Amino acid sequence: MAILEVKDLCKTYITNKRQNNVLRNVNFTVEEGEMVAIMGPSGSGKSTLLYTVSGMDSMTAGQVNFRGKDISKLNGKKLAELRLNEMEFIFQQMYMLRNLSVIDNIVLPARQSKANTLSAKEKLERAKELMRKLGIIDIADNNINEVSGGQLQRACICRSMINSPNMIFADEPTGALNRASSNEVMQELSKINKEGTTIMLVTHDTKVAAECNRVLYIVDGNINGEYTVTQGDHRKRQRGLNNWLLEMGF
Amino acid sequence: MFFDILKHDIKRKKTMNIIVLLFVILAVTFISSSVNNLLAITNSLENFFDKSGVGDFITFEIGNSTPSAKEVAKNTDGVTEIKTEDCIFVTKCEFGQEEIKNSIIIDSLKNSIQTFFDQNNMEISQVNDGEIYVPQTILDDKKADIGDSITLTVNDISKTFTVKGVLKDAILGSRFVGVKRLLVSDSDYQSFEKTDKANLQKMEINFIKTNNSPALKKNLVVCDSILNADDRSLFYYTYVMEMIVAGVLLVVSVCLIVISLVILSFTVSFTLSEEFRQIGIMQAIGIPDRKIRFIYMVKYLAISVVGAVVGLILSFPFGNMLLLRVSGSIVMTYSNGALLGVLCAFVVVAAILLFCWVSTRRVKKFTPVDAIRNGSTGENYKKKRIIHFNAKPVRPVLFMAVNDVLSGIKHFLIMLLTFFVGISMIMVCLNVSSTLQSEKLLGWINMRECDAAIATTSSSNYMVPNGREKLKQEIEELESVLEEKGWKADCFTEVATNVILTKGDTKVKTTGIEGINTDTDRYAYIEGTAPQNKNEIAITRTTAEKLNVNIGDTVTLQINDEEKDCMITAIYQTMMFMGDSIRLYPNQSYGFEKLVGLFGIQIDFSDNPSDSEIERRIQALEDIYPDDKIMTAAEYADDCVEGTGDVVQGVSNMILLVVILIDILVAVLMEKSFLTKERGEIAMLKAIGFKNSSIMVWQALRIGIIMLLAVLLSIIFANPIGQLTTSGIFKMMGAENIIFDTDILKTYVIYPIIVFTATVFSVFISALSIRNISSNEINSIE
Repeated sequence: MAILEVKDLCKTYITNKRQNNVLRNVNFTVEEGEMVAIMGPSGSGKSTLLYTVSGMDSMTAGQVNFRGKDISKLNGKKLAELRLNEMEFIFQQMYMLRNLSVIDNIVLPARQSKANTLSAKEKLERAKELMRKLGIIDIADNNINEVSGGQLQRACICRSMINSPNMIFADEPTGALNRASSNEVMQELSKINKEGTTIMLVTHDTKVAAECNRVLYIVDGNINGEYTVTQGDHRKRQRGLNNWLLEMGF
Repeated sequence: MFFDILKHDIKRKKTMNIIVLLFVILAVTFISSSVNNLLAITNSLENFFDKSGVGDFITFEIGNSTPSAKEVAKNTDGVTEIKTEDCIFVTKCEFGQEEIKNSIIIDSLKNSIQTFFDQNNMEISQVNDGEIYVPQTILDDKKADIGDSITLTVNDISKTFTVKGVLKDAILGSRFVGVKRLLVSDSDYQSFEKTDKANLQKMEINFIKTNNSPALKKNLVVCDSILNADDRSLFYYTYVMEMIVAGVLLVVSVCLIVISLVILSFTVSFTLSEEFRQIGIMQAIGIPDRKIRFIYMVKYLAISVVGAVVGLILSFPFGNMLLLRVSGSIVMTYSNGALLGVLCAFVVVAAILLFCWVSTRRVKKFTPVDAIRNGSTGENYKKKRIIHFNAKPVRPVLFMAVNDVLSGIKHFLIMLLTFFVGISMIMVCLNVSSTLQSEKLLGWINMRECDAAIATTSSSNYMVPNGREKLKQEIEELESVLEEKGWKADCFTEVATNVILTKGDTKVKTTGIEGINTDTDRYAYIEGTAPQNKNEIAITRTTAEKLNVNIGDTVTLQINDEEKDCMITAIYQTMMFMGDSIRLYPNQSYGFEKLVGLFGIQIDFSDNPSDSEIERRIQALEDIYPDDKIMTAAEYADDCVEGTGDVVQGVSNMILLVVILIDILVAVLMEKSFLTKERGEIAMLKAIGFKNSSIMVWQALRIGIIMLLAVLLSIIFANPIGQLTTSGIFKMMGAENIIFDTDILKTYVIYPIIVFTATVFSVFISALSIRNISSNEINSIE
């Protein structure tokens, strides 16, 4: 069953009286439980696509249905509720509130959500459980400037999971991390996906994309190709993806 | 490049620059106008008295005594000229149906020595028959205007006049002088003089030129008909309230300058921390720190010069507006305003530049590496958080706001300090105002507490051989009337007469206060016990110091021609007679012919009625005595200190407006800086599903918490600050131990709520720009 349906999506910016068509009639579907990567050259519209389909940015034309709801018809308040309860985000910049401890940052969306009916204590327990799972429970009470980038990104993943969203959007989640941290983060995302959460991410890194089920290749605002990642070990998956990307001119 | 950076800064930090500019404008406007006003009042007073030709020493004399003031002055060394004029006491003075309760005297140009001025500061050279000039204070009190009618009665002669203009009278023009003078034509004055000579009461005013005022004052002690005799400089003090208004404004100005400098320091630090990259790059390409600092100096020089010019221009109409009230009574002749204003503006600009130079020292700490490493110079371990979410059932935005304040109280200190100073200033003024309008004030100014009071007619009605009996009889009649209505009450009043106290070689002329139909136990004393017989007196600290006596000492008391030894049993305070008086035991034997004052008749109901019942009884009394002014105890207390409470209330309202303006400016400035600094966090909160309204509430709550803290601190410290700052003024007025009577609802609730609401609302409005921050900006924010 499709969790995200994108039909004829267009996004146009007007800068200095010049029209810039960033997305041109984009069509694709993401099935529930899938992990989809968006790849493409710099400036191809990857991040814009991610932000537009997640309702963080407005679309110029087209339709985006998230779990059957046309997000272009939702007002700011409804979109905020949707982001709080049904979808979550992970960014390249690991933004957290600097005056809150790591665990308080993680528990924050749960405390804000009215749909999350757990008690304050249960929410705190869930945050701890997530941190335990991602191996960062030791830094729960730390300030955010006392932890490493990898730990912080894992904390951001915990925050994105706290309200048990249906889908996670991630924009270059490993972009600011070293190789070791990047591997750790991707392992966690894969685990979350296997547990049933749909993930859509933007990346330049084939190693990251090889963890996904499917890769959408975007050039100049058009989806030029779609690749289903072959089964097998990681090396094999990455090799297959690399070959396809070479064919696409990446 | 310099100017590109400057242009960029001015464009990007528009709001912050505008706020700094507004502070400079406010600071210059306030400092220029208040310094000018203070000097204008003091200098104009000197000129006003000179132009009025009142000499160096003035005496007021009622009735004849041997020797007279004129005779004593003639025989005193240093006296070079004595000029005397007579004025007639009016028995009744009415504006329409409303009677003026002050002692009123009339004068005419031919009869007068003193020169008078009108509302246009022009010397009054002619008064036509049927026309009259009236002091501004009377017109204000009676809400009357030029062209209205006024009826004067002297014994059996009544005449109605049309108010031709305002009378500016140097020695009797202040609201603190109980006797008021009206100016009529020579023929009208003469027609009043034709009344029954035996009952015609006159006041003789002597204008004496002398170079030895202390000797003259000492010699005049023997004249028992003198109502008042003082060096003219002491008459300046009667305009103290006008000076206090200008003085309060001066304090506000100094606070404004301090706040402006703190705000400037904050803005400079914030700008520098925002622009570390540009600074680093400039350093990397070899521009010396001095030149980098020069960029900011140019910017703040421009802001402060523009602010100073605008502030200076505004200070003239603003200062004139403040002087309006004063200029109704004083001939304003001060003309150095512009020059002094420029000087004040220059001082403000210099202070800002100096502060700016000091604040930009931080540039030296930046290095090119900052620009390369994105401002990060290594590990930065902050203090652990003080509070945690844990399982507390608290709203996230409230938690975030409280946590922000507790985690970075240093960042909020400017705001806390500004809010605290502002709210404290309001609270102090309100406390002073409510104290001066409180019934408790009666106790502190050595009056007996009561429930209501009736303003008496002129004391001259009782300055007759059987005046004491007449007054007592009227009080008893009032008690009977009240009893008939079923309201048992004690009715009493106070009379004031001139007395001479002698201790060894020291003689002091002062005012003796005697309660009529009451006893001395009912008054409050600072030390000692109430006088218990006619040979005991209580004395104010001021009088005791003049005579160098204390409790237990015996002094010789002379009232009229009667002399006796009296023991001092108590020290008390009063804000009347400039704190210089003694309290006599009741039922003295002297006559009232030479009374210098009569207070209102006070009513103390025996059945302890509620406030609403007192209000009801006052209304009933107004029906019984339609010609008399019936007051509550609080109104009577305010009346006793000549409506000073109203003036202070006016100052409080003015300060409230200034404080709201300052608080809004500071809060908006801080909020704008927070929005710039927290753009990434706001975008992140939006991305994870926080609504705009929640984020705006978070922003406004932080300022609200600081405001709340400031209010709490002000509540704690308003009293000690008030005692510290106002005790000098009260002491000058004769009261050394005033305990504020706080109107809790107004001072601690209503006014803080007004400031709180205005400030937090302005922050909320500023935070509306959050709507323009998009959640997808998160990856593009530096």
